[in-house]
Amino acid sequence: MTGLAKRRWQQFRANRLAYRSLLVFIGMLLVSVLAPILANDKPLIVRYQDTVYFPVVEVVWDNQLGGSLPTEADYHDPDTRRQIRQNGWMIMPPIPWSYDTIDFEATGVFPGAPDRRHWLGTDDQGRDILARLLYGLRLSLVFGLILTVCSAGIGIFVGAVQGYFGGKTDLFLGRLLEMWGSLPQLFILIIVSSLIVPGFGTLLGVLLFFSWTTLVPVVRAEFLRTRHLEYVQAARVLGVSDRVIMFRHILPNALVATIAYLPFMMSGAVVALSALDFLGLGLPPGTPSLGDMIRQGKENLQAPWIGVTIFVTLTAVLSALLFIGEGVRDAFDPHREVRS
Amino acid sequence: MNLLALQKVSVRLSRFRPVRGISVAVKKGEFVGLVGASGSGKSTAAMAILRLQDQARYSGRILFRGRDLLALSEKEMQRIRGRRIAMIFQEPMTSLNPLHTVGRQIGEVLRLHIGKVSRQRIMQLLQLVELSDGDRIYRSYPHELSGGQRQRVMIAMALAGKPDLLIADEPTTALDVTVQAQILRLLKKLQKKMGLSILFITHDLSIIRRLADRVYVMKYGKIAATRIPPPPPIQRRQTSAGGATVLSVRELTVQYGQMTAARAVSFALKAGRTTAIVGESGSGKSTVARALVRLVPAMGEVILNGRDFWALRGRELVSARAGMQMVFQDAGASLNPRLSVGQLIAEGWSLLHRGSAERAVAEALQAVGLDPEIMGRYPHELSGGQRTRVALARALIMRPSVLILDEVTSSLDIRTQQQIMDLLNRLQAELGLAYLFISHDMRAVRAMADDVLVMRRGDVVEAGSADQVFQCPRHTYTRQLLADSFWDDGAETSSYNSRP
Repeated sequence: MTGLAKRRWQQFRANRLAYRSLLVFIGMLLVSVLAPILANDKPLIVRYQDTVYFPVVEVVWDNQLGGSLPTEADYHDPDTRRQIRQNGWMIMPPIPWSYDTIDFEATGVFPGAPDRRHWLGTDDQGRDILARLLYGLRLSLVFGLILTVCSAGIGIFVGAVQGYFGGKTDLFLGRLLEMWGSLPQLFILIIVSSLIVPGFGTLLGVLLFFSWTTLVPVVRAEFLRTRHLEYVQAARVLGVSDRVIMFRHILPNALVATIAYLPFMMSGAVVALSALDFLGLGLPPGTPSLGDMIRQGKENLQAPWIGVTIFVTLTAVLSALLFIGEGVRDAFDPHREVRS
Repeated sequence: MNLLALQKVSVRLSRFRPVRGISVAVKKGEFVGLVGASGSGKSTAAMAILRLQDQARYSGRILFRGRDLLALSEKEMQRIRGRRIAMIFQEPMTSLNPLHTVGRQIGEVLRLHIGKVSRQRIMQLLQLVELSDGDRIYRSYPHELSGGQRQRVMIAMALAGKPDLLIADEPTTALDVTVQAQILRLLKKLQKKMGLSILFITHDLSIIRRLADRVYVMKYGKIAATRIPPPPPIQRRQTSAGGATVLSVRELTVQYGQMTAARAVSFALKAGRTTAIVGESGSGKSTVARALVRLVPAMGEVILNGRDFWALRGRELVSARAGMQMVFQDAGASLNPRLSVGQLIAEGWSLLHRGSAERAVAEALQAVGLDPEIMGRYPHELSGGQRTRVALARALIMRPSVLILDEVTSSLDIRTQQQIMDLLNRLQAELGLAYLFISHDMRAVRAMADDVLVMRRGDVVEAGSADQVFQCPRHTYTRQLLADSFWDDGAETSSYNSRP
């Protein structure tokens, strides 16, 4: 790490709220990425007779475990469980439910309140809320990360071209961006989702279609400023090509200016996805998503555990991103000196 | 008795101690110079007198008319600032409010210090600082004035409270030589006429030599000397005959919208010879350099090594570019701070060659008198002289036949300047380079140039051999430029100076 990077990192760490938010966020990311191991209706390891199976990563047929059906084994089926217990053993994940497992053995009505069987209760279709939360969080965070990285990539590229070449290019792209910005995002989303059932990829594409413009003005301004610096001119006199000048001499400066935007862009992406799912314009029904859980919370006010869970989770995710963003922004602000 | 006396004053700013126990005295009506390189602590010392820095911790005593300024309350200090001790700064544009007229801003100061404002008093002040067109200036906004006029307005504002002491912090550094000379003459006149004491802070030894009654030289926060050495003698260059013509420029014209930055500039450059372009900032001399290397679009014809340089495209252009290299004014700014010395120098070489550049880089560094060990370092770890040498090595590694030197010596101190000029002359003799030396420093031009072009507002007003231009300048502008440049220099001045 160079001196400057080190100083910025120290400055970020000195902001205790931001630093702890980063730790919380990394924690949530790890837990949600590990969701298939933490919450699943298949055991982690099964030993049946003399064979060891890993059902989480491989398909194990019912008839391999002493059943008679040529379908995948159902480990909540009492027959299957008895077979395994008699011929070996199995280890279930800490939360023995996946996002789509319906608890047929539950007593009482759905949604069911939290108990030892379902730590955060069940939703109105008898699915475990904690499992759905983990998978939903994973989906939202991964979606947010991919959308942020893609928007930043496209935005930086377009901004770089616009700022570096300036003149007519700048004028043309500037007007194009203004027209782009006036497209009615919500209407287009409604139209798209009424034509096709949007999946993860289509939603990503549609949201990317609108969000890539976020960074363009920032990068453009940075390139406009930097292209007149003497070291850029010096490189031009040597005969260095435009592409190399843009990436080697200017881009590193521009990246610094964009980093502070990334956490805010990511929280925007999480909110956008949740909002679409809440409105029913997002991912197909049944997908574990934070927006779908908000909708359930709203429709089942008599079961406050749904609403409270999703409220706490979303608040934590969005606040963490906000605080990280503020910390990064301050750490990269040249006007703030380290007070020692 | 001393009007102002700093006694063992130290200033601490967080972890730094920019001023370490200095003692300075200014008597009534005295012009005292405080000289030092940037970072020597001279500006911090000046700000300490008015206690302008919030976080600073002071020790020692600052006696002004017998009272210790460091012991005064903030309220009492307010009555000293501006009224008893006034200060002017380097860049007047940032100290003036762009939204108000000059008259109104001077009036504001008068109201603050004297309590009553009259147009007559404001006009008197404008007259005092020799702004002839007082009525127009009164109604003008800061952006409508020239740099010299703005600095005069700042001086008028400083004098509004009838101070005993004027602290001038590099007031002429941002100005052209001729304007600078005028402002300095004005300050000297005010000192005589009003009995004003002036503490003049500068990095430029040459301008203080003639002006100051006494001088303090600061180094690393301490007073290093109380007199300055005499100016180095002006060196005349041994003119060389030169070889084949490597660069010929015909009717070069640069147009920025309505403004013509350079008009029909023509000259030829032979191997082993140096042509200097002199002029003030805005004269178009740097524009010519930038146009030559195709950084700004221009009209005309440039023949480099027998090829029409401006008509080339693509690969041909990359290889031809190597033939004409440029070293920029501010070597520090022309080096990408994120790249190491080795990467910086290797960049151009890699465009023309394959393989490892390390040996070529080491040779280039040795040629400019640097240890190849320096390769792994970054620009901010180098001194000003070393940065200039690195920039020079980056140009030399391309094996150019023409080297454009754009104010390469202007940001260096006198000793480093001399070393760089010696190095340039030696390299020229060894490699047969042709130099285009762009400068406003007539002393450096005298030491470097065979031929001289004098530019003013885009026009070449005089062209000829260096001996002819220096000894019998034809154009009045050249004469004025020479007079103001050698203003501090007794021996040469008399023969150049056209004014009293």
